Amino acid sequence: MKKLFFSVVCVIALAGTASAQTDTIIKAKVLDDGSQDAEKFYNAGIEDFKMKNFQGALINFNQAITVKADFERAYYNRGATKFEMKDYNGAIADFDKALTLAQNADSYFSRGQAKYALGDKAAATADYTKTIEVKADYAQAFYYRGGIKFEHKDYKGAIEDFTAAVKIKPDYAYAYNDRGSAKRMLDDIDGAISDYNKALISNSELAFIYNNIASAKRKKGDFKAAISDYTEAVKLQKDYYVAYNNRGSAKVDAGDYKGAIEDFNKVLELKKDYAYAYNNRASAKYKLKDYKGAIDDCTKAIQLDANYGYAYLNRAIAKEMMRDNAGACADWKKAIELGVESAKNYTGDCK
Amino acid sequence: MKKILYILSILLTANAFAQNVEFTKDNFKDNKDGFKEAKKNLEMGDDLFAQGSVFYRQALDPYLLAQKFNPNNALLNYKIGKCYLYSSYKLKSIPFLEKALELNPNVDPQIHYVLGKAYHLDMQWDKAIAEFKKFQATITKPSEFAEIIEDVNKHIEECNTGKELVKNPIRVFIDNVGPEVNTSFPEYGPIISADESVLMFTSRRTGTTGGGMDELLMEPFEDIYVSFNKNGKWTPAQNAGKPINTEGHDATMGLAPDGQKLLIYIDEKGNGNIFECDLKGDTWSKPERMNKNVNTDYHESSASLASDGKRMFFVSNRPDGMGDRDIYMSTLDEKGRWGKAVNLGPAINTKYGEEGVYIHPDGKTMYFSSQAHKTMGGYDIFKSVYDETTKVWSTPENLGYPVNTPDDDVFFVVSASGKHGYYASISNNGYGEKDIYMVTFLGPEKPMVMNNEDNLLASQTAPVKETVIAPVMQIKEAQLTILKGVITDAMTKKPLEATIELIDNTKNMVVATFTSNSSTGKYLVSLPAGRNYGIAVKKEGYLFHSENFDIPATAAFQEVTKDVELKNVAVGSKIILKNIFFDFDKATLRPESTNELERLTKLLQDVPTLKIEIGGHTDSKGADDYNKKLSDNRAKAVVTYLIGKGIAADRLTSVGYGEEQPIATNDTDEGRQMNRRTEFKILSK
Repeated sequence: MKKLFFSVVCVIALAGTASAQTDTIIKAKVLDDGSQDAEKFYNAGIEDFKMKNFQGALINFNQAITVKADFERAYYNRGATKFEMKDYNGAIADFDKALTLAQNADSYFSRGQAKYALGDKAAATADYTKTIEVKADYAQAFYYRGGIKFEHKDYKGAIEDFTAAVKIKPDYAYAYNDRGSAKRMLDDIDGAISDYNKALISNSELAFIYNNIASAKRKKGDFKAAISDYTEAVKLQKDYYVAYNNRGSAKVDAGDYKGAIEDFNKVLELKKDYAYAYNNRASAKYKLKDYKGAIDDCTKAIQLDANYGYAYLNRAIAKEMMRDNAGACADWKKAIELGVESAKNYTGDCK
Repeated sequence: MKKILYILSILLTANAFAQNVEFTKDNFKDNKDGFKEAKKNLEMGDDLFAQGSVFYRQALDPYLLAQKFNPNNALLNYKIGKCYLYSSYKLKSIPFLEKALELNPNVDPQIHYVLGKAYHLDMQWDKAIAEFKKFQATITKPSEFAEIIEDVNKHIEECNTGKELVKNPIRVFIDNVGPEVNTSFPEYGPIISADESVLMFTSRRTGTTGGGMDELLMEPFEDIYVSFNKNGKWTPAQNAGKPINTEGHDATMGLAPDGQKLLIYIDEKGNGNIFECDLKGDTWSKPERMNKNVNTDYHESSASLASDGKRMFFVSNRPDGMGDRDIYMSTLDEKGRWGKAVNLGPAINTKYGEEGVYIHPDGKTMYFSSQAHKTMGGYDIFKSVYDETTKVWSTPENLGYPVNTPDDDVFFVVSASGKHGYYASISNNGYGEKDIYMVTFLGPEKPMVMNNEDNLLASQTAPVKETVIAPVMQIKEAQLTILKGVITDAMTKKPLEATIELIDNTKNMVVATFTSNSSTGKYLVSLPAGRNYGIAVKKEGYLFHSENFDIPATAAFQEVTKDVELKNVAVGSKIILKNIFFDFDKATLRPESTNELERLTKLLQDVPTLKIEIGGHTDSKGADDYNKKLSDNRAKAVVTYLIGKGIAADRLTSVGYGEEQPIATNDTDEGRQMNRRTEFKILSK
């Protein structure tokens, strides 16, 4: 009936509050026979969307739908626009409508993303599964479903989905990264390192992959290699405080306490309320027998997070060396209260 | 300017070409009087030096005066170095020995050996090894010098051990116990009660009993001193007084864990022997020489009593040992006599010296010093644990640096908790000469926990926190329970001297007997983990008191205070029989109850007019009727036992009280356990 005129490629990056850096690309074929108003509004909406003028896009898609009530792609794109505007319920209603008009894999997938953004992981999983039913080679659906399985600590299930994703899309760096992480959670550190390496072959510009491979190597006890990979991570992303904090810890492990302190200092320059860096710097200072410095750092960590059990544990350990047994006991007891079981080993002599 | 340069160059020359200057008149023409004086000092020192190492300390003063006059005599510097090596300040020897070597490399054939020893003591391991090797190279006829070669090799091995131990020091605090105990005079040989409430030690300070001086060393005779721990502080040490201290040498050896028995060393014409004395009230009995199984014509120099009072470990250099001084054990026989001494064998004793034995209140951990095993030099302190099943002592383990040093480390005692050790040492930060120090063992380093995050999921910006599980550490601590308290009369509240019997309920055997102190009523009992203990406190004219401690083998150290009030044999007096056990939910007496039942039988035999009621009690769990019946049957079982032992049935009544008379809450396990009990009550006497 309608003559296909030209097609526009619409890039809609779906990203929720918790999601970013996604490499998911949704290619929506946009149709316009040029002679109809609905299609004109529709195409104008896509232009607005590309310019991130979501309000404008919304008005145009609304117009398109007003003109043409069964315009399936317009519903889909309006849903995508609402998603960007964080109106997830509105987005879901549009994807629902689009799905009554056509069983499109993208609609299921995008609805899954919106449901995930609303925290309904079970419904999101169901939509990703539906996506795969409609389109068996939908790599992103496998990838995101794997991610939810990971969050539910179903690492084996996650690995299956990530594996399916990389089979479909062999350069899927994210999927390799995440599969590596799932393997790491299963204590398959060698498998994790191998996957992180594959991720880096696909994309060597992603700082977090370097960070992750470094952490896997640190876990293996290969502190030197870990430090070198963390260094790559912070080269790629200068403000990557997580990696600085990790490199500092790896330096403590390797016995380079002064170097570690420099790293933790750097973290605190980048993110001055990062309690972990204070806590970890205390560990380095303790090793250098700067017990007072260690106590001060733990105190700062506790000021930032009053429920920081490990900071209490560590402060007690430093206090013991300062011959402050009463103080140490009070801190160990507080640590136990906050769930740090190992502190129970130390309270035997406490009154 | 020119002049300064000139002087400087002369100084440099003198230094570079320092030459040996002999004590001859010609060398000191300008100062004849000074030379005369120096020569006199030198000869005085030489006389003392020639008498052997005991006199080296006294030779030092005149030698140092002579050296001040002529600093560049190689032999004198060497001798001063050697004297210092035998003094309390051994490290002062190094500059003198180095100078001697510099002035004349051939000053003495042993110079490298002596300097090696000095470096060894200073923990300059590599320099020490180098000197020992230089000395080895000078030995031309190995067959003739086998002993020396062995000795040098031993030193080298010790240096290597020392290097390792210093690399991995143990974590301890070492604290001087303070001026209440330590003075500028020597204090050493600390001994403690298991709970660290009493500290006794030996000191050579002025004001010694009799005020005499040891003419040989020009020092006061040894006396024993005592200090008490009051609220964490040591009271000013008091001379233990007569009859322990005499006008001669009196030195500490061992104190029973409850502080009621003291072993002391008395020098009898050069033949040291072990004497024992008991604390009666607040006075010590006259020291009595222990029997000939223990004391010989040889030298017995250290002794320690096991907590059961039935085994004594001691050191002797009697000739039938493994060589030098060895550790022996004697066991108390049924008649209360110490039996034949048994050498502990090659696991502990070596051909070198063993000294300073201490058996921990857990009854199985022995601390001792040895010149062999893996020592880092001289005597080091080792620990070995006796395995009761295999009857084997574990391989002695070096306590580690900094408790052990390259010098002699001897006479080390450890508190029941295993947390503290006491020993004597010389430190620049002390009060002078040897002082008593307390070691606090901190155990392995407590790992600090670091926290890290990673961006594990690429699609998530929030980092994922790594779940950190802090490692659980194996806590090595003494596995025993210290039970202590005061025994008093229930009516008058006056302290009582009572007998405390420790019974292994499973074996139905009295394992140890103790007595509380008559003036304080204090008692202390060590209960090594892994047994079901019955404790019976007895005194004539009083009803016995019983306690039960079932301590699993894995139980950690604990100190329990339990004050006991003994009741008179009076109508209405009630006693809980804590060591009567029944099978679960049944009225069958368990074999572990035997000792308690026998004690009850004896009481009824001793007081034939006594009529008693045996009362059974349960906790509130279960139906009232059921509980009443169970308790009634249990009380009857005890009565049946007593009748079986010949006690007339008309003297015995049994009552099942069920849950009617709780003595504790029924809401906790502990309370319910207290409520399940068997009591007896005196109906008439």
